[in-house]
Amino acid sequence: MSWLDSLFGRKSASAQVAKSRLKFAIQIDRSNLSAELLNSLQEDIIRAISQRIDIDREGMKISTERGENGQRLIADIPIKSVRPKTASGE
Amino acid sequence: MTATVITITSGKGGVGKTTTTANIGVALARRGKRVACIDADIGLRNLDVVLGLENRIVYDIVDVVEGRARLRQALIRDKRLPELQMLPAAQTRDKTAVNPQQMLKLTDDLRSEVDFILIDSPAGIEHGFKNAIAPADRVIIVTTPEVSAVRDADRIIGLVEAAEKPKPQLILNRLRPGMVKRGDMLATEDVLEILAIDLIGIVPEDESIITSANRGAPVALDDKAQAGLAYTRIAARILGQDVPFAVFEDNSTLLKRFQNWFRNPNGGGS
Repeated sequence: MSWLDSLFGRKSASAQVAKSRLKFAIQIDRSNLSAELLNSLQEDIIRAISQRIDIDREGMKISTERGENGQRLIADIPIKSVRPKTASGE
Repeated sequence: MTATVITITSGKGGVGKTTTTANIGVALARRGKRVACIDADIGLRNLDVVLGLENRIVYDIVDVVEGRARLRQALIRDKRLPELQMLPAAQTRDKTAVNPQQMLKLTDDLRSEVDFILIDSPAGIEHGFKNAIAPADRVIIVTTPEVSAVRDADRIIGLVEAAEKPKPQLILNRLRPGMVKRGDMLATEDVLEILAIDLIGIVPEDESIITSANRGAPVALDDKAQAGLAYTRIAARILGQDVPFAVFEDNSTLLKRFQNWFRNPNGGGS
């Protein structure tokens, strides 16, 4: 009964709703990683891991996920061979 | 002496960039500073009508950039305030008619002639915004206490940072103290907490803004209007003075609220 609320001067407090919605929306806006950045990250990860083990580059997926504790970067990297590469390899 | 270039921007349209540019220009000029206002909203020229100078336009910013007119020919001097000049936007071209390098050259040519160059940025985050921001020494972001405007302001703050400009300052426009008091409008502290930048001014919602724009006489010329005084204080802060932020009273009287409540009980009166 919002008209009763206003009659008795009770706060409908839509500003509080606005504030919490804004905080959430802006948090997502700010942490949005661009496709370009994700691609560069993928290249970096491939380069680093390939020095040690054989991975399936084509099957690799990199993505972001939002959870309660903020945003996570998730890399799904299929391994071709578990045998460690020798120092001379690639 | 070389001018300070201040770009006024917002992301979202309709929050009052042009009104802000015009009024800060007027307020600085009234304090004896030489000011040039540049309308960077090519294709949607409006600073001229807000300043009441629309009848005197001969050349525009694109004419200057493309060499058809000299900068001094295109600048229009305000007869009420000889310290104030305006460079109009082109109306028949689009934002790609000017590039950021040309904006840099244009402002560099002006710097030795004035104390302040105010750039009225177009809405959006693309070409026109990049033009407006390129020569900025300082950036002022205008927002209203609404979710869409604040969110866009946050985006713009990020882009200003990415352009390696100094941290922008905020003008909170169209604040309605009565609504804030009722808890139905984001308060100044809420907006500052979300955006995490410094405040340079609060402008209350004021009908004088509309009536003054109707007449082409910016409200900063009016020492009785609340909004006019707000711009005067912003100009003082731009000049480095420490001016306390005014606390605006709810000017909706009990009678008015009662009338509003009768007309629209669910709206809670506005």
